[in-house]
Amino acid sequence: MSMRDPVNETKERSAERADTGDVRVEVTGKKRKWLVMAIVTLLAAGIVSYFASPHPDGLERVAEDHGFLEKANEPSWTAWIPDYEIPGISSPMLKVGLAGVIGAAILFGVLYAISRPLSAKPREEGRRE
Amino acid sequence: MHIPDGFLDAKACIATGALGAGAIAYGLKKTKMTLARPEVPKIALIGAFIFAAQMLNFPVSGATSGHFLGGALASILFGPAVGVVIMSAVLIVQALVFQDGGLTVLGANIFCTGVIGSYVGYGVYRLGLTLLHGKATKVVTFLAAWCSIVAASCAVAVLLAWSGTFPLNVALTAMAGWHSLIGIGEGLVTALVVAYLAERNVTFDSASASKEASTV
Repeated sequence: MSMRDPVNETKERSAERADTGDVRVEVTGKKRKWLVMAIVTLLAAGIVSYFASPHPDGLERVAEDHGFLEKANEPSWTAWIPDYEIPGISSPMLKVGLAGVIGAAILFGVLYAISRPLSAKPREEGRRE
Repeated sequence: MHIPDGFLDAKACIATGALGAGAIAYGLKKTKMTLARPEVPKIALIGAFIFAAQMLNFPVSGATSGHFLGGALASILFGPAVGVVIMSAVLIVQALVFQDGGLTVLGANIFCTGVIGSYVGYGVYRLGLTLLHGKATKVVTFLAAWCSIVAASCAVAVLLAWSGTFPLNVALTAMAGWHSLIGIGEGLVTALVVAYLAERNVTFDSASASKEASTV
């Protein structure tokens, strides 16, 4: 883990953004806040997901009301975790919660693997003063 | 609002497949030009958060539910190009691993919730910051997220109508109607998370504006 001066880093990155004409928030670099986000993500995926509303969502509601829900094709294949429930686990809370945690972990891994090779290396020379 | 297989006809699937693939290619290219290394774990974690939050269907009205989408959140935090990359990753994993959203309509889902969701969310956010000179950012964030959901639902309605599933005006009214309610949840979550993770708002200054104008 690097020990950079957060103020300088912030200035530098906002300067880079001004160059590209981007307008967006300066995303925090505070580790504590990202740890909270990670915990919230795990709790949401692993526990709260079990209590999600089972009712049809907006599109399914519209499809039902207008009589085209039956147009949805049954898939001809079976995914690893269909409908966010791990097959073969009897506990309803565990099969949903585990599916959520696995999904969140896959997303973290996939996006890390995609974005890391695309990112610019930190300029070490400029920082050693 | 993940479209299942069977709702769209072949021409809509092919057209949105091409648009979706093009948007991902552009998003990756743009990401490569602007991404700083410290952002990598943050992007990955926001992707995981969006996946988790999408699982949490909340009741809307009667026997209907809605869930968070995340295009506005991702694009406000990291820009619309990264937003498209994050949303596409979420949608592809959902379709392949969880069978949520069809495979033939994967491009349509990426186009509606990924591309439209990210760019409308970001566009409204940027417009709001400029018009209000960086004030009332929470309200601007809420509106940006609300607009992103309603715009995405309208795009789905247009695709449904184009596929001959049902007439455009009926499709638009029904989809936008439900999603204007679901968008309230989207707006609240987005405003909360952006306020928590934002150190400050980088406002649109004249230097970058003129630079951008000259490069366009």
